[in-house]
Amino acid sequence: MSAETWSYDGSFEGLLTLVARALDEDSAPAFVVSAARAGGLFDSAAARAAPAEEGAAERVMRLSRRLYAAAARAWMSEEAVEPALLAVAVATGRRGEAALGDFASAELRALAEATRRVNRETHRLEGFARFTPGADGLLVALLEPDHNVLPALAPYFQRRFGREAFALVDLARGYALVSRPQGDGTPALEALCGAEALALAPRAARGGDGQSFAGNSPGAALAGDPNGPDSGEADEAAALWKRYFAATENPARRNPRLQRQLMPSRYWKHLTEMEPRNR
Amino acid sequence: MELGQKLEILAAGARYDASCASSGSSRNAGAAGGLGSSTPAGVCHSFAGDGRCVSLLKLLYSNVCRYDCAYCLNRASNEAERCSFTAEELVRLTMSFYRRNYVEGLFLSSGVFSDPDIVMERLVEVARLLREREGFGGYIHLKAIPGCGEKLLRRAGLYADRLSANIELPTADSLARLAPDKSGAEILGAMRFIGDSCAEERADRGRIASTPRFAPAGQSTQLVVGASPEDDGRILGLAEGLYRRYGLRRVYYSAFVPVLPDPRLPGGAPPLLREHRLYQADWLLRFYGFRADELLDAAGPRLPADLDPKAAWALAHPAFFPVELSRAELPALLRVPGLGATSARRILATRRAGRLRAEDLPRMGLVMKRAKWFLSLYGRRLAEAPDQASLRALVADRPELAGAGADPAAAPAAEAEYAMRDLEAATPGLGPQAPGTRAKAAAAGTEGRPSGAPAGTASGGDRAAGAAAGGSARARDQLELAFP
Repeated sequence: MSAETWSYDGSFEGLLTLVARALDEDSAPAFVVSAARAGGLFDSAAARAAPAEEGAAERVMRLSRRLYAAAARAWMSEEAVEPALLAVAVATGRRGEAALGDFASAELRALAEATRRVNRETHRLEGFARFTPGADGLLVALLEPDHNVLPALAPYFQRRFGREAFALVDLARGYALVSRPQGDGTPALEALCGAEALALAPRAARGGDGQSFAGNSPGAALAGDPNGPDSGEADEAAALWKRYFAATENPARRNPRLQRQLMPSRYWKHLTEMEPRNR
Repeated sequence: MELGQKLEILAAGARYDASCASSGSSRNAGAAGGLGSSTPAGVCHSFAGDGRCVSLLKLLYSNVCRYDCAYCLNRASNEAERCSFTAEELVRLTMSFYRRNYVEGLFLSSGVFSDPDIVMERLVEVARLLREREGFGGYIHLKAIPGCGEKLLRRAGLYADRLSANIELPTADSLARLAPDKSGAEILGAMRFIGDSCAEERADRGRIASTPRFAPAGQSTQLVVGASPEDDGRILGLAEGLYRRYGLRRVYYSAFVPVLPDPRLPGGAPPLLREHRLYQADWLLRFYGFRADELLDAAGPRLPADLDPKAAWALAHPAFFPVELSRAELPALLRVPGLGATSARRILATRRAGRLRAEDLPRMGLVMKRAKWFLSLYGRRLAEAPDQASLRALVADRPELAGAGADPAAAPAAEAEYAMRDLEAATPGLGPQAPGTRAKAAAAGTEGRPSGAPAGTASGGDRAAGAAAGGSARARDQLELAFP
């Protein structure tokens, strides 16, 4: 490992460019600066960032699809695991995919831990995302993921929803992925940023001014606030779901600690069934 | 009655069924213009206040029931409010909850409100409407109502991902005493039919790819623990028999909850620790290569309360240890207390990547707290095991319960024969090994069960070792690699 610092623009393509460079140079840097994380250093980091290269993705994929998948998870984690990723990439270039199972390597372990956190958050949200039909029938889920997992969630929900249009709104990062079926029925994905993403959220969830997500629980709004829901049917479904949820619990085995352990309270805000009076 | 009220009553009636798995199936109706998919791993959508995963919309079609089973809230003699859904109501609830991502699908059971054929037909009709009219591609688990015709079970399997017939109690004796209207022969008959149909479908699919799927997530069952006097040995023996003979994917154990007073039933708190130990033992049967008789050899007819069953086995078989980290294969590693499947695979992967060094072990993310007493590396023990009694305290997860059975209320082994033998005698045409279960077991990764059994261990281990040697050549090869 060299003592150098490499930098990139914070995009996935930019990260793949670094992976390709590590493979070409057979060497990984000790530090990596991401413009996305650099904050005040953004300008200087971006200035020194290697431009994203065409073909880097293919280069990495050709060597190992598993390495490519690990790079994607590392990027979604938003954690500073780039040096570990690049070291693992160099090891994979030298020794093949066996390097991806070498848990004696600190770099592989760090990468595997980040991957595990991303996968866990993705899998949890596959279950915990709650969709509410909007005005035009668009199913909208509001999320505040710990990691940037929308790119992994979108294909999952495309399989699940088939021809139904849906939107995943990341309130923490201020963007949304919208999937709508095209003419031939296959879904197409579109990314919306800022105000456009915000406009997808039900009105009540955005707060009174329609501009801020803060404050109100969207679930509470959907449950009975006449200004909240865009569809009367959503009201009924949410109300029925809450009654079902309370009735399916076995009172002889009440165990709120276990419940909280398996479904940490940070998710409750967006869970219809976990509104205060239902707990 | 208002829909919400029915929903509450019929959800409360179904909640004693422990199964909520949405796993083991893979569908993609979205591609065909419908709604829904299911993934092999299953998804938990929420966790109820009892800490259980909420994956499926778990409901009774009706809580009207002819039967009078002592342990059941819905029994005929209980004065409870009775109601039934219509098929359309169930379809609407399922579709609406599914679109909002509240659930993975529907788990539909029912009281026996009429002839088994009529009840089963209603359940099948709900599944048919979901699949054929709504294009629903999510998960469907249907209860098989024992005593219904095979044609109906066949149709159920074409729509459902999973079917289950609950065996309810560990022996035919207890079934006759506590659930006098149910027939063990009918329950096992339904299981055998489902097991055979799954196996046939798999065989046919090998030749004809368009063979329609039959219950791709297989079948499960459930039994009540602690309502009758059977010990853990009998229960695990039954579970093992069900896995082997009928290719079951899961046996669920439900600690008896005294919901209604009845002179035939014990009182007191549900035996939750016993249920927990049974699940641990069940896991060892399905994924760790243990056999039921090995686990109970070590523990006697009751699983110990202070130890998990794997640790109990390890303490009873000191000659199997230490397991050599640099050479042991998966089956031997899986027998080390404190090493789970993830850790065992991680050791193998790291060995493939290079020579294992002592300093790597703590860095590999392995939890050595309990495992270290049972492992060596290049011939050196990782920790020198103290005497048996101290070791027991060191590996116990509930040391304060030492000396107690997980099952303090259970009577000593009862006089009745094992349920399987009893019930098979009453089930004509059931051979010692139902056809196809071997294929099923292989698919579930449980073939080669005795693979990690101890070679050359003392006393109780000999039988296991003999069985392993006779079990399969592969197992023997693995043993030789692990213990040359």
